[in-house]
Amino acid sequence: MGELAGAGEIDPREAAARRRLSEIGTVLPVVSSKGGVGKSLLSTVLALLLSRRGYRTGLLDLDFHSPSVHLILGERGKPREDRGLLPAEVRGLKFLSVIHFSGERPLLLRKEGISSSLLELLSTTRWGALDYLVIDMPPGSGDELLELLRLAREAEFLVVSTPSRLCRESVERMVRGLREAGARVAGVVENFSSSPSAWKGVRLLGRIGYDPELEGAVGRVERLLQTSFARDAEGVLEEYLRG
Amino acid sequence: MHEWAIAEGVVEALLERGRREGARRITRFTLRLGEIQGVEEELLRFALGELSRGTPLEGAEIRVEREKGRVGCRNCGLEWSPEGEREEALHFLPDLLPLFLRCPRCGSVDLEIRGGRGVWVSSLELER
Repeated sequence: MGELAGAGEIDPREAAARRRLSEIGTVLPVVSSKGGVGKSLLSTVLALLLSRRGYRTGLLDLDFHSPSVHLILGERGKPREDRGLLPAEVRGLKFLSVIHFSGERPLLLRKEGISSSLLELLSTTRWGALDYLVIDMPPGSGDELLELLRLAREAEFLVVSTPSRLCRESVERMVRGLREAGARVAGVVENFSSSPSAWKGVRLLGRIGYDPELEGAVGRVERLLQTSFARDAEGVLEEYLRG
Repeated sequence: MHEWAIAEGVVEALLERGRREGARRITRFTLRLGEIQGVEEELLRFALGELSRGTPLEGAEIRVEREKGRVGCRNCGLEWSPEGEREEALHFLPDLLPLFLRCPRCGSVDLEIRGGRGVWVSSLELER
């Protein structure tokens, strides 16, 4: 007769999620304490630029309440089932979003459902060999961020801000929080930037100026990559890759 | 064959627990399968058998308990078990169930899953 081990139930997704994330070259979550600062656009453009440089790149939209990466890409593709979940293939990227499962339904979800869905996706998605997994995160320091901090210990967080004091103050607080949690902060990107402003205690990866052409390029990848936003993002990427 | 990915998680979690407990073998374990996810037991058992080969989990007796899906309305308090056709999306993300439902009593969309969501290891026995 065997011996009964341990106390409590085991959620088998935890071990699987950790292992799958550890197989990815670099997990690059794009975060901000505020919404509307350009996380989704920056995530998508960075993923496209990485892919064009020959890196095997995945793009995961973890904004469960407000996914928008599929709009920026102009298509969503379709994930497949084969010994797990195979992400959609869109514009040279492996792409996955809650939109693949929710369709057009309003995303009225409580945090328990979101944390659990996040764990489900991370534990069953077969990204294959990836150099980079760019993750478009929802705004704030809530459950999604905490889950990712727990499961992806090696992730490099890229923090997006605007020059506004209202944003900077909370972004600086977020950077402190990430570091206190033991996370790696790759640096800050200042979007809607108009004049140089100093960032203390955190590496500035680059500034992105306001681009009035950007909205017209949403959903049109080739045009998107011709915008000044994409050119500035290229500078951010170069600075990031310099290490 | 989403069951394969779930089985991988189960095997990894069990082997991890076994290592932590200093186990030579895991002899028996119980899985609780929530009905919302619609996991096929036979596929899961097959994948578990294949993935356990050559590990301390090989040959372990697998017990399966099924748990009915239960949804609660946070507005009027009704609790019920949803019936009918299962959306394919729930096989992958069972937590999205509330998106596909309304409370049958008050029509609210503020719903929570109270049981039968996914797959859990509810007990295991091992030899040291």
